Amino acid sequence: MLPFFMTACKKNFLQDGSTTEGNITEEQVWGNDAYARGFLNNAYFTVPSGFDLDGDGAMLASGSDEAVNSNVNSSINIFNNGTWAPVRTINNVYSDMYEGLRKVNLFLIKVPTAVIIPVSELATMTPADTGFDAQIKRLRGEAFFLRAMFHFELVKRYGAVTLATKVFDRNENLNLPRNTYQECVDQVVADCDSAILLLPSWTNTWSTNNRGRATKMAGLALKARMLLYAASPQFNTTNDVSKWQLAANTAKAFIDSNRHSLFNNYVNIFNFGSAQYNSESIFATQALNRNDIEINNAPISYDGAKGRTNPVQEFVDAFEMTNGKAITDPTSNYNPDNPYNLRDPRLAFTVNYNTRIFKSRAVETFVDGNDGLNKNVNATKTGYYMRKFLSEAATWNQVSNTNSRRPWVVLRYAEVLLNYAEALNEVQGPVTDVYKYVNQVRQRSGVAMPVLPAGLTQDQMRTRIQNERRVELCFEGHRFFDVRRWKQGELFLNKPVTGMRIVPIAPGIYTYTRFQVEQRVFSDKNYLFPFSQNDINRQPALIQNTGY
Amino acid sequence: MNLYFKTMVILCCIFTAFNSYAQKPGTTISATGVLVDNTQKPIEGVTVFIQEKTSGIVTGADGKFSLECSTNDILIFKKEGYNTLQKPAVDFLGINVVMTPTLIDAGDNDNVFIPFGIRKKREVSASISTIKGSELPQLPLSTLNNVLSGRLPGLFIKQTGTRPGTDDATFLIRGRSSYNSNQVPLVLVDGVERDFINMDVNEIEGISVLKDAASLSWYGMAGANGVIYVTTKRGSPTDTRITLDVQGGVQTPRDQTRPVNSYNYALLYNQSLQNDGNAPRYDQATLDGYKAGTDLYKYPNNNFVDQFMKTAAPVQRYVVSVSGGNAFVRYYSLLSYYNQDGLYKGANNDKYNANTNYKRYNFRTNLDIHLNKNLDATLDVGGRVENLRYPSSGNGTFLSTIYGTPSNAFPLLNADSSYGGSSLFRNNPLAMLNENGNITDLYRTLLATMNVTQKLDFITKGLSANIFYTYDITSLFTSGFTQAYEIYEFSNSGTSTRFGNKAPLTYRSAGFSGNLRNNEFWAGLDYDRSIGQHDFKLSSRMQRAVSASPNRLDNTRINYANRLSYSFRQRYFADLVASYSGSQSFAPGNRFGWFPAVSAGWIISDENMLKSVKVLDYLKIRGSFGLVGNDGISARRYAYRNYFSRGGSQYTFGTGYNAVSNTTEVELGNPDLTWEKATKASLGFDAKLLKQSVAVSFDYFYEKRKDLLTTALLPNILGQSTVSVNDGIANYKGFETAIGYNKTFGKVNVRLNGNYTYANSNIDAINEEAGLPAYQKQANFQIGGVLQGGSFIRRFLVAEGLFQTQAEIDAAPVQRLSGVVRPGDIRYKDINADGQIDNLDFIMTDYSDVPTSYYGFGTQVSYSNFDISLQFQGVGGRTIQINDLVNSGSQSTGYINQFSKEAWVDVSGGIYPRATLGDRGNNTASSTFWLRDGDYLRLKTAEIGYTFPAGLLKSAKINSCRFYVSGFNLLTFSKLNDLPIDPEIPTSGYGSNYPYITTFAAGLSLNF
Repeated sequence: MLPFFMTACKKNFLQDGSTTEGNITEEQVWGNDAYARGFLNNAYFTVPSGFDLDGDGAMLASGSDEAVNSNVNSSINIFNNGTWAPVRTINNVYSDMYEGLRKVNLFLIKVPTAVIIPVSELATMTPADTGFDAQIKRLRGEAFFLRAMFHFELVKRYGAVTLATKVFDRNENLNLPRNTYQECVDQVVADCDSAILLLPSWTNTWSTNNRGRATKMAGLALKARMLLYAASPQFNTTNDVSKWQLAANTAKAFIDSNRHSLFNNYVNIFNFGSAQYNSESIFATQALNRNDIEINNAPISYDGAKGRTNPVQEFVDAFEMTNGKAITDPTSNYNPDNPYNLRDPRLAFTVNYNTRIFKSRAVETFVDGNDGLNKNVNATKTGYYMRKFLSEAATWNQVSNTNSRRPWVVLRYAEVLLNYAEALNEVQGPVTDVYKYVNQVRQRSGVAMPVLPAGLTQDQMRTRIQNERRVELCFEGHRFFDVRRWKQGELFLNKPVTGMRIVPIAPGIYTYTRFQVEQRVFSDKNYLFPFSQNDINRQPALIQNTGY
Repeated sequence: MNLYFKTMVILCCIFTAFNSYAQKPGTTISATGVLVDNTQKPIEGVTVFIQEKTSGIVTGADGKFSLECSTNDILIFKKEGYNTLQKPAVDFLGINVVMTPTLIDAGDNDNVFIPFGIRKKREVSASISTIKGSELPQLPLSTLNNVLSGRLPGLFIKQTGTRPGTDDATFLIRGRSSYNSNQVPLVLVDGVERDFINMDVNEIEGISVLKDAASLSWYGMAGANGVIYVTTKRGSPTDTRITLDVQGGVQTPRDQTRPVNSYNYALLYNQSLQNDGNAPRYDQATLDGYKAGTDLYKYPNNNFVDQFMKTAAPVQRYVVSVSGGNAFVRYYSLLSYYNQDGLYKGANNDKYNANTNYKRYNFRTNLDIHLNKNLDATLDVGGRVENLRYPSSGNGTFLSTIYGTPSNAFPLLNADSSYGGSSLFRNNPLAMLNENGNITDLYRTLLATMNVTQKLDFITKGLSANIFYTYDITSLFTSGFTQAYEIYEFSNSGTSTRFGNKAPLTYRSAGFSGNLRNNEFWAGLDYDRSIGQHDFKLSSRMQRAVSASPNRLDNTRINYANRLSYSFRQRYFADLVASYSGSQSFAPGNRFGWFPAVSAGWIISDENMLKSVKVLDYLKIRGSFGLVGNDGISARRYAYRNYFSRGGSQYTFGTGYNAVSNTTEVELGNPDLTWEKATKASLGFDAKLLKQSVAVSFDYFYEKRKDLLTTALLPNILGQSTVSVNDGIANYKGFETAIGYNKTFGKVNVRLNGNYTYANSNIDAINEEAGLPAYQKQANFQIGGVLQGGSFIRRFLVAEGLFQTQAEIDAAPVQRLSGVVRPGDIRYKDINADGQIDNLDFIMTDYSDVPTSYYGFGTQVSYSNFDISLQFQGVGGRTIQINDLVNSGSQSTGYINQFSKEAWVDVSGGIYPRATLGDRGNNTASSTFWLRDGDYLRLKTAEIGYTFPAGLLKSAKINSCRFYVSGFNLLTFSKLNDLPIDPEIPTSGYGSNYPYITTFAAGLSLNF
């Protein structure tokens, strides 16, 4: 009983909470180099990844005219079936982004006085780079970049939002109204500018174990994208050319810095297992060692994969013939009975179509084929499976599985080139530079599509650039927003999507019949996301987007 | 309070200084006398016997007795209605012995156990219901809570599980007044927090349910949800016995999934596809194949429920107990064994058994030692060993496999004897039982209590000091076998695909996965004194409790509890309780509070004005009012402070993908956090009528609970979740009543019992979003909700049947819960009349899994050597849902289940919405369509016994022998009509839940 008495007599029998299980106090965080840096590291988790939006492997592609999800009950269908509403939200990143913003704002306030121990972080260091101030600068630069990123993720979905440039207190009035759209753009641009000023130049400027952190070039690319969105018809209703000019200038500055380049292997841009931090990838989430992308998206006969993202026929049709002509062009040599022959090589890089070799055997999406329509509930709904992002090295449901390093690539060089071309075409029409950079993308190593024909009008060039984006940047989460910022929702998103029913008639010979997969609904309000009713209720000053 | 410790240490020293008794051998004498009452009339039928000897004599009409005994012997005189007398034999040499009649509710069997005290029922002014261990049914059940169902007013018990060893239940005392926790009552065994459901029923002396502030304030911040106070048996100086109970029985499942056969499954699947406008999946040849059933490899047709579930599983229980004692030492000792087998068929292979099974060994020894005339000590050691076995994949996975896998999914064994399976269904039940190993959880619990009382009459008469200390440990050791199997899916062309990886049978690397130590220390003073007709009983205690477990800081509790009981002429009673209680969950400076309560009782029938009312033998009115707290709030540890966590999943950078340090802010603390404050009032009476054959009691109760935690509801731009704030208020009120009847007519004894409780709760304040429509707000509704998949649903769409035609749909408001609405879908009411049905058309309701009323009644009748007892339990005002049963399944199963046969089809209609594979949002939404009346009345237990005549057994030295057959959960009456589900646990036997169980048993009870 004696030890018990001693416990009982301890002054602090009911502990005061100064010590707890695992958790530490705020003073301990900022008083320790690893914890203080760890706080910023944690904010990187908020950068959204697009591989799984519904908990079952649905991608944003299935919420636009790129694909259909094989899980007919996926919440991703809320985007498509007209039920999208404040009380029925999907991909609602509102609270996630503000959580990230709180982290970076808290870090920005605390880091100048935190205990930071200078360490060498850069590939090549000068004495000036290893000082305390230089370290703080870089850390603040990362925080500014992330703040710009989180605000951008909000702005592209909801339009104008409430800017969070400070750490909110639970006791202050948090029922704040939205800032104007322009204020939001200005804030993203300003934070990008701060990041550009403070950060190391590009990926390889960081030492090998710090690659993946924000860079000057990432700041510039994000700024260019923000300005492009702001200049686009959705937000630039008066078509103020100076906005396009700003977007063009920023993209051009990026190109002129000559840091990044198009990577020589289209497939491996996204596969860090084969090409770590390749020259094309400007900024990406952490590269997890994973096989879930394959489990979710590979054709169903591949060890019980779930075949989730099924490209639609309209998307497949967007790929030109190798002669550079659209399949609708009578002179294109398109053969409806052999539709995948002589197509833009990127079709094969991004789509697992019937007979396409995947993991050393042909995909069978024909009716009654191992991956065919209706084969089981997970079977393709369109006759296609997504190929992009998938690693042929990854294995699953094996004795010992093989994983491969894949990040979600957020910013890459091809997009910057297309951003520049698009903005410049709006300012100056199809001038030489426009051709030059679109053609760079088309003629990238391993793709080698013919250059665009000379003499295109500004409108024709706009269409060609839009199609180029659709093909080059497919499944990367661009199409969903591009269609919206171009104000083309009614054109592309308010009509049925189709698939291809492929029936074998003789070995290697099939008939191809297009069929409607599902009706799609789009209305004017759907240009922007609705704020969740929950958020409106808690923050009534946040006025709901029009139409919801 | 340091004085407390000093006092205790000094007392400890005093105890050790005392000597023990010495005793001389006795000589034989003959004790004689006449037993008379206080009017000197002889008493007939008094049992007289010598302590520690079981046989005795019974006095005749003259009240005379004569007994050969030793001078050291103690004689004991017993008769119901009189206080038991106990005196040295040397005192009885032909004198008249006066036996005093017992006051009503103050006899030997009228003890009520209260915290650190015993009162006669007569003295109690608090609201306490009690049941004696001997009144509990003798049934081979693994948990005790179920035998209490419907027995006590104000105690609601709901069975929540039926699996061997885990057939759990939840308790609720009176009603709900907190919408945060489930209001779990504090369960105390012999005064400290211990699990009682795994005790053997024979260990239990009695159970008191403490319901009002007058008793609960003693526990300060731990008492607001009520207390179930279990007391274990102790030896008696007037009763020495050895008992042996042997029971065996069977448990049979009820209301299980009835799988759809392959042919019907395929038809229903095609129907589902057709409902969505899609082509059928099964062609005529396949349908014919299923119908013919000749090629079961190509056209499998399994009924996994029949194949893998037994219709009965055995259960056994054996208990031995020894008890007795004398004036110096008393003992009670028990040993029991319980074995409950699971229902899985074909699980016993030559290496191991994967059928679920529960074995339990309980033991207990309670010792009372009278060290000297001033010093008493008790030493109780109890414990149990529990052995719970189940298949490696877990009971839930195994059950969901046999309940959920379509009958045509795969053949159990392929033609080449490999295990069948498919890419969608990779669990093969045969392999799960025979090539997947098993797990055995071994729980070991040791409970030890020491209690020392020193009389301090030398300071002042009636004063005593008491120290009470417990040391409880429990551990969990997991072991078993691991093994893995592979399945093969054959395609039509004869090629196969393998899923899973075979692994040989090996011993499961075992480990200690749970360890817990609980200590409680109580010390203080008692002062019992009668001065004339004034009785005082004062108790004061300090409590220190520690709960220690690996990976966490110790949980500690401090309480100072005080109670003063006063009575005058055994007719007027008053109690004052006040505790000063502290909790580590709140900020220093803000963590202690006072919890006072008063109560009073008046035996009004003893007043002259009522003495003339012959029918009324006894009437006590009583009432109480006070404050009790609850610090069991659901918030993180030290939620009054802000913290940062480190570690966790780490972000990777660099070409080596280094995990970097990671720090993050945890949810923001609330420095003002405080405990829930329950103000409880209770007013009632106890009465006895018609020569005490009828007993009635009634209580009206009201509780208002303040400072309930409710969400802060801050805008999400804050960027951090926050600990809730104490802004909530709720109350319940209601009444409870109990009635008993006990009368003997010649050889027939009839006992009846009944009780009824009604409680209605109300949310007075809760933080809700400002923009919420009025009809969705929770305020002024009951606490509760309809149970669905572990959460409580409170808002529902109002269903208006099924759409029959497209024209109806076109004319109705647009339903935005799914992409398309077709005939056969549920039609909903447009609550806000905006022309569309969406989340704004859900309305707040009072539908709840918690009944507004619950009751029980029963009877015991004995005639000669036969006895029969029946006990019923029922609830009213309860709602269940069948949404998750009818809509069970997955994409893979096509949502086809036994209810799909009653789904709507064109022209012929149907009960349930049309079957569909995709876009199911409209028909799976929570709506009134799925609600069913959850009221039921159940024959909980029944028992028929026969006691062998004593004469037959004398030669075998057996005092008594009773044979009986009994049953549990025998009959159920509900308003579910022919819906094949159990009203109490609607999901049992479906999904991943063990079926509802009926138990039949036979037993033999011997008394030596």
